[in-house]
Amino acid sequence: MRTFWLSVIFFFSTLAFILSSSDFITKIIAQYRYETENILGSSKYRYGDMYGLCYLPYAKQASLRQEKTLIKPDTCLKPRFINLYAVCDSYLWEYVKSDPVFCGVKKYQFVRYGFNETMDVHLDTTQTNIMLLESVERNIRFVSFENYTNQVRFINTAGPGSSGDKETSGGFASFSGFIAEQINNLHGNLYNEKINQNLEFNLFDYYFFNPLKEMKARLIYSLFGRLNKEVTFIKGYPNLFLNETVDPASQNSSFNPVTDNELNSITAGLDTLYKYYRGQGFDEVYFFIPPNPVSIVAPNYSTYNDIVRRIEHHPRLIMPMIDIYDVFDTIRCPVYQVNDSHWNANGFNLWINTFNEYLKKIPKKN
Amino acid sequence: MIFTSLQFLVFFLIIFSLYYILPYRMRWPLLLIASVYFYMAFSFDFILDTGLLIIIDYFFGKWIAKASGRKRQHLLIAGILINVLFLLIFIYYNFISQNIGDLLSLFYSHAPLPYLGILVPVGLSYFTFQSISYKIEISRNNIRPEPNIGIYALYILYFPKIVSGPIERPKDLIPQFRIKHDFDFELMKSGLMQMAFGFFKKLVIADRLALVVDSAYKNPQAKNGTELLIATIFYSFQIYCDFSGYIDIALGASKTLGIRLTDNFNKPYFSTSVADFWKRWHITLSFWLRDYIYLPLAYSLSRKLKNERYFSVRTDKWIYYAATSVTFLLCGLWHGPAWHYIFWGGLFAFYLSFSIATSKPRKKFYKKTGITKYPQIHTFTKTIITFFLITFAWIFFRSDSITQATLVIKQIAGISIADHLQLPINTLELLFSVFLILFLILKEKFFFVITPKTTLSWATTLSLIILCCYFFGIFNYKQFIYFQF
Repeated sequence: MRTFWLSVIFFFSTLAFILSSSDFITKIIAQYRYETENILGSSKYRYGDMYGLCYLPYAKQASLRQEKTLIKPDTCLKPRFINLYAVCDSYLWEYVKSDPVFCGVKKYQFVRYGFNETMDVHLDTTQTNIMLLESVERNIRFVSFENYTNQVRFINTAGPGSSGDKETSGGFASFSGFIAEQINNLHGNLYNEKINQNLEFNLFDYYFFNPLKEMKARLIYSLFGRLNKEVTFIKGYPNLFLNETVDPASQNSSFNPVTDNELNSITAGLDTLYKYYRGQGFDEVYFFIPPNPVSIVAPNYSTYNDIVRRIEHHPRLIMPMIDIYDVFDTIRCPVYQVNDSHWNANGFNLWINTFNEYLKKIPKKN
Repeated sequence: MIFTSLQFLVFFLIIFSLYYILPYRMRWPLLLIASVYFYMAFSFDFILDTGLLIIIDYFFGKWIAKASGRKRQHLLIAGILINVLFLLIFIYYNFISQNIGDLLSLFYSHAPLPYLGILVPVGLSYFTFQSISYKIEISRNNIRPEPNIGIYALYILYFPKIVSGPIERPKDLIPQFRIKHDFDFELMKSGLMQMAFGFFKKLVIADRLALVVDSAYKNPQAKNGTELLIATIFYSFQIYCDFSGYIDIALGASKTLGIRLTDNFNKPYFSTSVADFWKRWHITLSFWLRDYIYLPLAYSLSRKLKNERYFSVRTDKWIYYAATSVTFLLCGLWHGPAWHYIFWGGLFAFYLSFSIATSKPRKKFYKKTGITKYPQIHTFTKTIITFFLITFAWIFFRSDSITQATLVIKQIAGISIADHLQLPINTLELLFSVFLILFLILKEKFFFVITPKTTLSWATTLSLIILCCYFFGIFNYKQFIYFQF
């Protein structure tokens, strides 16, 4: 009997360990568990990513999924002839995965910024090709050329990211490189850096644990005034904010001062990207920066660094920017979810309308 | 793979269950594989260096056992030198080269020795001490060399103690790997309870106190005396709960496998003198230093020096002062290649020497005041004085440098009622932290070991501790303090 129970413990703990050691398997499991409504479902993003971080019961409101259902399809009458490519973060890929929302777009292809994935681009320069690049405000200071080009692979097109451009070298250097790569792979497979995160997801991220998590969050917040360190409140506002966007000491913060030199360097980087993609044959390249929620909801919390507008209106910038900050700043209704770091359907619709105005003006090639 | 991570818990469950499923002869290889895996989680790149050191030490053990007379002595010294060389290269080289460079820069414009940008293998100072202990014990004929290199490797790498001790003696640990341990439910209960309380000490107490301590010591210039005093007192308990919490988890995990490790703590803050403190704090280190440095040095000096008086102090006292100073300076250096650790060790040497030097006048003073008639008050007073002496020494231990420690002391000396408290925790949490410290003191005073009698009471107590850890623990994967040593 004892051996039976020990075998059960061994089987389940080994299973949990192996599954959580593999990012690939965990991703497959996650895709299923984020979607399903049954007992195996995950609540991590269902009620907003801020709720999934702090589990404060009051923040358990409309889910991102519900928000997505409110996204309006494109109603413009323009013929669809544009090939739209995007390197984007969750502000875009979480909300739209196909073309119907974009005006005049017949093919939409995207790659998720920062993920271990690539977008194969077969660029037909006889057609109209547009590249859309995006970075949320909190990451804009870390934008680099590689970030926006390494994940894009041109098929049958010359350029640094092309598949035919990879350098091959023989001899000892190649062999030692191969060995080093194998050791790195071995280390990565044996000791996945995200294993604790994956184990937490696989073992404890279930609906039925939520009451316990909420009880803890409520207790700690009411007694000690503390939330998960990644989340914060600002007095007088209902929203939960990412702490890194609020804490003036953080470089991701809306309140961390940005010097003119730094601004020049960011805009120069954007221009390099612009020239690169135009050089590859794109007819136009656009960049847009969704503002941090705190920049719109509570810009007076501290001294706002105004980085979005300072980039958008930079005198030397040649990269066309889709200006959304001013639209959000003047609108009276909420454009961000209170329990999520992303915009709500209203915010997204405002952005897509703005972007569609740009797309409408793009002429068809003869 | 820190002990407070989910990764460790699941890893431990796998090893624990498989250990009792496998036949007896397969158990030590399982523990060795598990220990290598655990070790590589911290020091993947150093497994070959560590393996090489284990092989060298294993063969030195054999050669020392076979040799006799002066040859044995020479082999022992050579074996120890190899261990010390590893320590020097990995831990002390940069410290020494920087100090020599600083000294020479008084005469030359450039530092002559290059800086080595190398990482330190985890647990190096712990397993080096165990390797040295193994060879010395063989040379003293206290043990025979281990014939199986796998078991010797397990003695060095055994996962519950590889990262931060306890520093085990070969005669205590190696035989346990050869004994058949049947599954013992009572031992498992006791081990799990000890682990749970270790988690409580680390997650609920140590990491909560760390919020105040880290904030104060990060920028002591910006803190006032009261804040630094609170942080310093909190640090005394933080480091105790952190280290003894780690030891409890290590001992508890090992106990569930039927292997008993040496306890490293015995209510250290109930010590009535500094000497008493070192018999209760990091016991395996202090006994190692006593057996392999202090006593051999003291015997060697006493053989060489005549029993006379120098500056009207007896030779045996001089020997005590010298041996204590060397031992504690090395103790400080063992904790890290930095002057503030050496100063910390030196401060303890001063405390102990001062205590011996003033023992007669103190006895006279006690007699005169009549405090010895009230033993409880006398003990309490001595305990409090000892606690504050140790807390004072912790300032040097916690600070990044002697300069910072001096600043902290200056700020504390300027303490004022008007000081405004700006702590990273609210008042309720501050009171809760004080309550936790009082709880710890009372628990240690009255229930040093939690031993519920029935399985039901055990399960209830264990569940309560786990729930407390869940609700009040600080889960930020903060590494154990002694991990760095």
